Amino acid sequence: MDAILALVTAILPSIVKLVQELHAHQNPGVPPPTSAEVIAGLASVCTSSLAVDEEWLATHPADQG
Amino acid sequence: MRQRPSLAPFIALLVALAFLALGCHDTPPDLTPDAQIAFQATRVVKVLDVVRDAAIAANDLTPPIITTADTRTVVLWHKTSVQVIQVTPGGWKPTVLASIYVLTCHPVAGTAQPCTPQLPPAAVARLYPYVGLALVVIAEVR
Repeated sequence: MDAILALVTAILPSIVKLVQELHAHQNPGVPPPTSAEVIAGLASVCTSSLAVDEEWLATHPADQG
Repeated sequence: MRQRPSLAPFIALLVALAFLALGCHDTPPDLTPDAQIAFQATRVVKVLDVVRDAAIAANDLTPPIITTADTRTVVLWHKTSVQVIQVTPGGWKPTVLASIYVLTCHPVAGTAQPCTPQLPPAAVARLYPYVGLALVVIAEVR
């Protein structure tokens, strides 16, 4: 149970950030993104997401267990 | 010996309810069809990131509650899923759902039986709330 709580605590900032990002466009103070921005945003998000994977894999080689 | 109750179902429920309450499934108005697809795909990449980040965070705990080998499995799954979304932003859904089913045998992701998850049961249990969250977001994609 403690381990689960520790994991939830560790990952909570990511979830909060995700919810905030997903909800940002509904804020009246934030103009909705244009189509070009949304399409470029997907490319950017994929690139940065894959970079995290690559970095983790590089620092945790398969023979490390 | 009596088994202790798991928090996972409650966390999954809370997270799912939070998403539903926030109504974050709305796509911004006035987007072209391609941009609408990209908007949905971006949300899915971000929620898959949460699953990957949960595995990495669990592996970083002392002692780790997900092994490095299992975390590698999750990271490789995530990498492949994001690459599929990147290449086919309008047609990734069946592939990503199938990959989640192979990884976890989550009943929302698939129904093929028998199913033996790629991850061991302990790792599946740790990631269950986050996979459930991902499946909630994926389910909103048309």
